[in-house]
Amino acid sequence: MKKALMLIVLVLMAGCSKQLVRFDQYSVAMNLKVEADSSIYLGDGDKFNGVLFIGPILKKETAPITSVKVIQNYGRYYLCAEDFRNLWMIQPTTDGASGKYKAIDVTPEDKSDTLKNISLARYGDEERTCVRFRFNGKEIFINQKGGLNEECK
Amino acid sequence: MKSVNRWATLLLVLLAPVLYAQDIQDLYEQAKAALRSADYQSSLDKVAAAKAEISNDPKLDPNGVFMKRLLPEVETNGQNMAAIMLALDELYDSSQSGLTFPDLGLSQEAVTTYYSQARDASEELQRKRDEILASRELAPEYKAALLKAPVLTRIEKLASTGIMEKLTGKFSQMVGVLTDSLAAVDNRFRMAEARLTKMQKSAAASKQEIEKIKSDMAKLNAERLSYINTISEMLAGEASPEMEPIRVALSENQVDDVFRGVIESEIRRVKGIAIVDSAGYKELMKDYDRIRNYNRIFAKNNVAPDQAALLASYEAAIKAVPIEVPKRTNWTMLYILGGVLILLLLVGLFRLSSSNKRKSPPASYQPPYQP
Repeated sequence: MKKALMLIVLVLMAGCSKQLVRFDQYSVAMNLKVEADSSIYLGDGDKFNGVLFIGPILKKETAPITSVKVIQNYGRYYLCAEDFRNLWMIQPTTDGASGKYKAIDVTPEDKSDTLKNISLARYGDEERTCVRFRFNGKEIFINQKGGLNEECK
Repeated sequence: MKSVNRWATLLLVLLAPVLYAQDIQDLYEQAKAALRSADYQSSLDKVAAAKAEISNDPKLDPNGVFMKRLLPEVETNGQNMAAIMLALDELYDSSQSGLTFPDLGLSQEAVTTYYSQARDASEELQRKRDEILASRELAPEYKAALLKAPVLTRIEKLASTGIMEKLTGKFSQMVGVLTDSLAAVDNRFRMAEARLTKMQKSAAASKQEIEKIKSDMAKLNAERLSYINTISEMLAGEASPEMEPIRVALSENQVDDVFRGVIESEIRRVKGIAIVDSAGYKELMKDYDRIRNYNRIFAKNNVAPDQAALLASYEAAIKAVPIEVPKRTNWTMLYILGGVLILLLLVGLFRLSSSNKRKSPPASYQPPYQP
């Protein structure tokens, strides 16, 4: 009886365990046009993998823009544009229909500072990759969990 | 406290602007942009620079997406474009230096031969160009850039006007000979035409004499058209400035007078035709198309004014010629007759076989036994 119960438990455990494949969610930096409804197509032409509606972000940033730079790292999107005051991180939620967004102030010393000559790139190795953000002739790294560092760690 | 220290360190780093190496993605984008302008050398340089950066610091390309996928793609396109451009350059140079025409003397046949050689050379050049373009694969956006490259424009110009321009010297010498011959033939034609008109008015002229003049006129007209055709061949291709001496010589030699005369006499000839069959009508239209083409070439090169009005009359004259309609075979009647014949044949065969049955009993027939 005990043995039979053990067997049932093992079978149930095997059935419940998740089967996983490796899936790296990242991209190269994209320069994307902002549509009239404040949306951006993530991709190019007919090859895109979603639309981000960035109206709330644009409302907080006052600079008039026509395009934004976006990069994806470990599923999160990092977004910025020339003359923005912040770098923005967007974390898709599990429902697949919305994303949490958060401002990353990379110039905390100056609240009125605007970001110029920006660039986004991934940096690191396969195990640990950061987003390297260059602006105003400086650079910072954002790690897998969204933490800000002067180095990729 | 730890957090404050972290921010302080970060602040120090941020306050000191540094000169960084160029972004890989920037180099990649620049490489693509250069290829889109058909500047394959700059593109390959940018790819090499990006590769060198990644080799120095592999962390710049964490998943090898640039090194394994994006850069090789641009590099292959750049190398293919380089190979195509070099081959096109070689083709242009060899076509330029290798294109010579043998001296064929001053004759009408020489012009036709030169024209034919030039046309063959032009077609061969275009064929080789297309062969080179198809020899290597290029992404559509880069192919579009390649098609605008200066070397292709040069080849296009050589094929359309350059080859004919090489004949300018030879043709210039021939213009005088050709126009003199044309004027002489035209003069003889006009005289024959005047003689014919006079004869047709006089009652003494025999039908045989009239037919003889008509036949002579047809031959002279063919000769005249042949000279006009040769002149049009000299002017074939685009109207380039290099052909100007030929154009001037032709307009000074009143080619336009002769050409107008040709159209007028063709109109008179067509108006004299009582009826034609469909083959004859097609021939008339062919002659019209040929003369219309000469008009286009002469007008484009300012050798003769546009004879559009005269050509309209010419076309109207052809359209007014009645066409003989061949008698159509009445297939329905033929089918009915055929059917009736087959029916009669069948009836005949049936009757024949029935009479045979009545005359001779079958071989196995045994008369009934009568005791």
